[in-house]
Amino acid sequence: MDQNRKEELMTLWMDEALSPDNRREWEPYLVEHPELEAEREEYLRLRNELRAVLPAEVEPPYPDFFNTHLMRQIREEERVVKLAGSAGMRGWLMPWLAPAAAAAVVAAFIAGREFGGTKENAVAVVPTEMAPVVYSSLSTVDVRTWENLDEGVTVIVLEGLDEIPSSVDLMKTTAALEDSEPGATF
Amino acid sequence: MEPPEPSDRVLVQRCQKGEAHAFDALVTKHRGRVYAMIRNMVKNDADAWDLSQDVFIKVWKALPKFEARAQFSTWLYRITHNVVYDWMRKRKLETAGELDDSLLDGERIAAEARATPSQEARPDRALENEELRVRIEEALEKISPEHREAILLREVNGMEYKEIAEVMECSIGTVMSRLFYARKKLQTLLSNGPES
Repeated sequence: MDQNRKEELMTLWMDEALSPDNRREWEPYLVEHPELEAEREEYLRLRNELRAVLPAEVEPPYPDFFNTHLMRQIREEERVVKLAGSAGMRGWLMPWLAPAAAAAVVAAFIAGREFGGTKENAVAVVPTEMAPVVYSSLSTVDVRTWENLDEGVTVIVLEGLDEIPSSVDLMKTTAALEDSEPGATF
Repeated sequence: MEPPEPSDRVLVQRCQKGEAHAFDALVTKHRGRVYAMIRNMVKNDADAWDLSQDVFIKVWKALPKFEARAQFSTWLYRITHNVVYDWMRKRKLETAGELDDSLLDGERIAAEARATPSQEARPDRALENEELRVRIEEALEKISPEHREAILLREVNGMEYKEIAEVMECSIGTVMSRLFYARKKLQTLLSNGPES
């Protein structure tokens, strides 16, 4: 019996998967090597231990966030793909782009003079699906994000946190956290 | 009475029609197995979390091409396999902490070699579960990724040789050979006592 055949038959034997033909081939070898019975017994015990300590299924930490974050990444990737697609169209649009932009500026100026409101310094700050997903493990903390698309600014609002005393130096605290807990972020 | 959980096939068909909720259900159904498998391979919770995300992003991208005659779970494990090995290649983990296979290769360990520990060297039966887990995980870390994966797919996930071959992209003979040597190595490593 060559080595490859021995490996196959022993693997099948360990898994109680020998066919009748395989068994006829394996049993004479087993008679010559009775110590293999003990090895098999030992391995079956190890297999039980493996199954006991290594479950086939473990929920990832923060399972709900796992799905939310995943869907957000997918949307982001799709957005990038769409942008890449529209960039391909930009080539033939380019000759028309400059006159169209000039016309839009003139139209906006006229509209501003005609319909300009009282909120002169109003800033378009809107909650948006494109804002980052921020997750808190504390059920008492409400997290919202706001994004100013014009300024490229994102504000994260945490409501429900304990008050931070004015004596706390946030910069020092952040540095200490980073030193003590690799991967911790503030 | 709750309605039965939709099968993978039904969920996949709904995903292919563009139903995001079906994909969410598919992820919820399989994320635990994917995460557990990756965690057992890479031994780091944070990396396992990120890599599990990568797996499902690749699943989302590839789902339109998925053919219904294939088994979804095997296909999913194959994507998981590719993501983990890509990551390992980047980190060059194959060589870090690897047991010197030349000590345990086919020429030096015959099929009949004794891997059963003697009674004196046998691990203490009263070992706590946690200690046992640590020892088993340490032993798994010392064998090659291919051997570790074969053992996990077979012993922990209960896959057939053919399924393992599909996941690991190799022949059934290679799967059986990997299982043979992986078992020998694990027995040898675990028979040397907790202080080894």
